Amino acid sequence: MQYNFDEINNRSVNFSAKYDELKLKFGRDDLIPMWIADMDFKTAKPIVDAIINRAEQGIFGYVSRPDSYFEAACEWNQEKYGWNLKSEWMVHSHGIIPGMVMLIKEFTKPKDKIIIQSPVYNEFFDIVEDHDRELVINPLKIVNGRYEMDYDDLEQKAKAGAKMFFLCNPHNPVGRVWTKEELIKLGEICIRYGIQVIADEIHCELVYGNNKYTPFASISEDFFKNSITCISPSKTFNLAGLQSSILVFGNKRQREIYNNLLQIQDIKRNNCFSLVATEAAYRYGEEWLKQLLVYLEGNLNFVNNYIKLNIPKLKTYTPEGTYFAWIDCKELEMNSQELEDFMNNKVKVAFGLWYGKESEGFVRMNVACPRSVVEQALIRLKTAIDNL
Amino acid sequence: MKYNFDEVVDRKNNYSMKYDELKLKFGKDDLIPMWVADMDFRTAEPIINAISKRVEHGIYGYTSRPDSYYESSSEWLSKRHGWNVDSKLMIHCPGVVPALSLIVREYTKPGDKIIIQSPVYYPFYDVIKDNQRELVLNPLKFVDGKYVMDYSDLEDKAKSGAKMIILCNPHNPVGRVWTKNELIKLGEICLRYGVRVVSDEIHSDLIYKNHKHVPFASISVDFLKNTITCIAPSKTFNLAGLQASILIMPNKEYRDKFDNILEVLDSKRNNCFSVVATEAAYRYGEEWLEQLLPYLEGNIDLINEYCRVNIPKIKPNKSEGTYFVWFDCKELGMSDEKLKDFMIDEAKIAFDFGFWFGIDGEGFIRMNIACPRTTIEKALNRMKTAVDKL
Repeated sequence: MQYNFDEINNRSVNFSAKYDELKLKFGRDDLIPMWIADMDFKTAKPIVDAIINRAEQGIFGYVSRPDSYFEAACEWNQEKYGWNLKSEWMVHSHGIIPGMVMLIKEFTKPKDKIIIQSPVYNEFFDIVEDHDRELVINPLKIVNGRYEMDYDDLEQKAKAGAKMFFLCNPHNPVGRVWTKEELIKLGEICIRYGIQVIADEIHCELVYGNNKYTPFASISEDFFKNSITCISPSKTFNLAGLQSSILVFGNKRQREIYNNLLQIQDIKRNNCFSLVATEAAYRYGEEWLKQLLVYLEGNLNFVNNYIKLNIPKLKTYTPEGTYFAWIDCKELEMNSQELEDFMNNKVKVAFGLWYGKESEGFVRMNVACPRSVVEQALIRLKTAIDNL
Repeated sequence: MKYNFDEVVDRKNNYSMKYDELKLKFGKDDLIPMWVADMDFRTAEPIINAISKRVEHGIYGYTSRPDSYYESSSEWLSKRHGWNVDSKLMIHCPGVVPALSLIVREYTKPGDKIIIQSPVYYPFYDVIKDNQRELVLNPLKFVDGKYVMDYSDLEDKAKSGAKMIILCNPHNPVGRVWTKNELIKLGEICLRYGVRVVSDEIHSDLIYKNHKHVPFASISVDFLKNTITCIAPSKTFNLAGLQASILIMPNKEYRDKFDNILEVLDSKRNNCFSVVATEAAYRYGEEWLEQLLPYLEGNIDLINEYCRVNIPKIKPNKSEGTYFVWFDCKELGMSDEKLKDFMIDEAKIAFDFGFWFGIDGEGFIRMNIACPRTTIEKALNRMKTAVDKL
């Protein structure tokens, strides 16, 4: 079927954090919400149908996960990425961040060093520091207008004794889809210094043009064994409210420890809707996804072209993946606080603003909304900058 | 509307633990499932409607909890149990057992003593032992055909330095709805010795004629301050698969700490369906519940009468609350292993076995009676036939 991503959906009756928490987060609610990572689009019809079907049963008791659940995820990864996963490597988690928190607590000790590549998803900073681990930053470099990894810096930091590395593949917020070569260099350094890689690959289906997502753990047996991969249908199919993701463990002992933790905390089961939605997404979501990607790429191109033509003080990085535009606002010559105030109170768009020191002067724009909304936001941005 | 609890709903495509995990748990799947605590009834129509309406939005992004969510729960507690709770004392958690696990970890230290009243819901044992705390049993006593608390034993154990008691009110599996006087005696001992009370009140809406649930923390301000109460619509309205419960934490310092833990774990939010289902349950679920309760009580009465007449060796209790019947099978003269095999292989019924609830549960079985009466009758007939053959 043909999906219409131009349709404006009323989310004011949706209990949506993106809309309902604007005031809480930005101090006012008359902003266009382009911050938190969910989409203003309806998800694929087969997913909606699966949930409707489950709802109509009327009984919402304790849920048992059928074998077909993880198998659907395996088949998806096999067909799309040639990654030969086995379902017994998989473990359910009610979210990637909750999962990563448990990994930190279980597989590192207080004061252990954990490396992240800033600018990066803000939660990475929080979950390291909240658990009394030492945050080690391996900043990304901008080379010829493109973000790259700094391997020399990484090697030095790895050498100094880090225990864990959080990879963001594709990278949020800068939109890089790491190439196989880049991942190999990174993975070899991690193996050399005994650093376990936690690969957050939640954005992996949102990849454009000729760019190609490589599952880190698919590169070699050694990489697999040294990694835990986090995947989920929640970004791809807009299911964050269903609270479910999958961790893929390369190490059997760690997987057993983790399973036991889920058992102890009584959180190993899916809720009754994430169960059917996840499987429907992986089995029947592809048609919708293909159309979505074309639309998102159109939005990202639209942002690039508009800014190039109309707001020359801003600079965009063409994302290879994710539904974020990463916008360099340094020419506005504002400090972080001023930039935030300007965006909230003059532009009146709620952007993502919190990705570490290396993100200062940048904003992240969530373009997963109808093009008319993107356009409106850009006009607001232009008008406010013109008035400076 | 009039609900028909006699309707047999096919749960084959329901991904139901109760049905689909029979083989895993009991070794065979041709058993009548009367074990894990969910019901074979469709929930209240307003809840299904609220979920269906939310489904139709088609957008399932990050969920924000409106103020009306906790308010509906607070109004329910006031209406059903006469307890006026400020909704600001409430905190969401994805389940009561996950909450107990977090509470044990955050508010006690490894090695601390935690009291439970056996026989009792087996995850209580696990959350204490798995978190390396010391389990202290204050067994219930069986006096004149009724389970009661043993206060002098409790006092001894409280005195010896316990930090926490996990109270089960009403009590699973024995079906007692603790009276106000019983709770006062317990609560005073706990206050005297500085034992914090965690009151699991998940069964509190399932109360039968002539009994009244007393929220432990409603008894006095001192009790309130010393208590964390756990409630959920999941047992009452058959919503365990939605993963939402509410903790009532009057102590601000504790509450802030718990809130922060959930924040750190990124587990603060409801999923997009529990947010609408919980509120619909508390606002519009009462009519359904008022019809459910007499039906469940009818099941309990039938079981008692049937066993008295037809299987006198097996003695069911008359539950005051919960949808469990607790059967004393000691007259069968079987070891627990034998009793289990007998129920699985001969009676062909999946029960929660008494020994799962601790040493004081040996020789008992717990029957989940939240199913159509025809299913109860079938199970009772199977039990009679199997016992007659002995």
